[in-house]
Amino acid sequence: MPDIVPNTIKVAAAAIAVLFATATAAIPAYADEPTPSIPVPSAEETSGGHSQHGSDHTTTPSETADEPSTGHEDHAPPTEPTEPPSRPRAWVFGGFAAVNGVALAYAAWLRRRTAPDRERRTRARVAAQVREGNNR
Amino acid sequence: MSTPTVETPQAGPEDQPDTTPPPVGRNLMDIPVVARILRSRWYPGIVRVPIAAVFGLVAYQLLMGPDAAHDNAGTALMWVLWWPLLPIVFVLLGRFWCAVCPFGWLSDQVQRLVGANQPVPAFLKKYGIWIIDASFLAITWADHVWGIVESPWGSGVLLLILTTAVIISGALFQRRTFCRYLCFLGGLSANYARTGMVELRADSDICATCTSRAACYNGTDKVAGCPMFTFARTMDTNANCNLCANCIKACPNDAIQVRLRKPTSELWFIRSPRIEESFLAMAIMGIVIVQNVTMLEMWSDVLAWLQRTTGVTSYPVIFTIAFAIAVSLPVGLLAGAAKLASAHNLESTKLNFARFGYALIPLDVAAHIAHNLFHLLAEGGSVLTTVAALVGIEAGDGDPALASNGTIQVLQFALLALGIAGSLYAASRITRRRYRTAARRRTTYAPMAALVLLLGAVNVWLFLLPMAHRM
Repeated sequence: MPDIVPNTIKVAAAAIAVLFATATAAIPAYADEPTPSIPVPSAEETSGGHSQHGSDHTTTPSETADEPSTGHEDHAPPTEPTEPPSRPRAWVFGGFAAVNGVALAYAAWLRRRTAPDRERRTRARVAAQVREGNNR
Repeated sequence: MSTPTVETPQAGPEDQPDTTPPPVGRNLMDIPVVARILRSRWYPGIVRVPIAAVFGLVAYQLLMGPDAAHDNAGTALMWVLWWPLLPIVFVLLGRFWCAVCPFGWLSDQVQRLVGANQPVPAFLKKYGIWIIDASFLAITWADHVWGIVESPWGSGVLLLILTTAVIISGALFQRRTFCRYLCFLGGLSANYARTGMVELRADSDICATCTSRAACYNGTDKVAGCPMFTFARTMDTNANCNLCANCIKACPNDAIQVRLRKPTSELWFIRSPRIEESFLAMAIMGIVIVQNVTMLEMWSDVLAWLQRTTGVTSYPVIFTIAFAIAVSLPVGLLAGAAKLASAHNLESTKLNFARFGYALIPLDVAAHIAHNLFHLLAEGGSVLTTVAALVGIEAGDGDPALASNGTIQVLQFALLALGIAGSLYAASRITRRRYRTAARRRTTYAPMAALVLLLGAVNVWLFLLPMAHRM
């Protein structure tokens, strides 16, 4: 029985060619237009930090103003001045420093506690190397 | 008395399994300049320093700079320049990025100062890749729900979380435990590096005579051991090598070679396929599909339709459902193809899934680069304008595109064609290597080829549609 794999490769290659030709032929007219084809969000629009998904989200019809904000959908109109969003920097940096400080302190303590073991292992390794060297 | 001879049926050439050993490409260590660079004590640190400086700037900008992504140099450098270039580096140079990654350097420094050097926990060794799979999916999900990419502050917090994980891992565990077992980018780069054109391997003939007690793995007095826990002598994959060249410097026999190879060739020489690595390959395909779909104009229509149909108005809930479907789709399709193949090739569905997931990596890489190419070429100008603004140069709010949409699409389709061809070829080589009879090869290859073509067609269709910008 002839090996089917080379044949399937030929079929697959033909399929790729068809796929590629279709894709290239189907490139829509906007492809020749200057970018961007979709308006780039302005600084005001992106100030909430969720330009793409947020703007998509606000266009959904069933959303109401009464729903609690998830931090994702509320955007001020571009014409109104927007207040810079408050960032909990102190909390975030404080938490970062605290968690890492604890981790470093714990690691230093662990290192100190296991130092004798480490030294013993090092001595054993060196001794083994010396023995091996003498035997050679 | 003559002994009776037993007639054995003659197998035709088509029934012979492909047992050719992995080809050995040109050894780049034969080029004096390359050898000198890789053996230099300045390598890879000399590359790491400017990258760390830029990353410091990025982190500062993200956390302390303008709140609008449009004006933030950190967002532009991170998501428009670095992120799109990364998969290209993986294909060209394997995990070289990991050797110069600022997080890896940070881990090394923490380890040097306070490191407890505890052995890697067994559960990390066993489930590390699953953790990587889960964290990659979680970060992508979080990005869409909380808009991390579009929010400099969100991106900055993500960097802080990663930094914390790196510091804790470096403080407690040996070598680069985080990079090998926990880093989601490491998982991605490990998969993509398999398609790479450069490989580091040891000369097994020289290694057989080695008496240096695995200096390539353990290091020497002057050179650290392999940070990725890889023993060069038995190494047969790029997945866990970051080309840091520690083994090259430590080897007393000059047995380590850096060779060129045929792209994707590693994929059909994998001896022990792992289901979690195949799962990651398929999950990445799902993630690329999600990234494309959510950037389409029609995404808002889909959201509206979902809201009308289901009555659910919460974006996180709707997105989570769409995300789960998109990620499950490629995984489920590969499981289906594996099931079909297993009915004829006498191997389990699980093994077929694990074995052929790797064949999808070329298409993964192509789709990922094609997607990122849009950000790089359609928004790349924003990198220059935002960085120029940092030093007080007003570059204006012009078009950030570096190429027209038409040019970008042609490049995207060319990449996809290469990816589809690479995946089909890899699947065909795996079947030829693995199965003896033509019938078994045919029944195994057919569903896998159909899967590659289907996923390729989905990607082509998605790239035909207009995408929204990140900046």
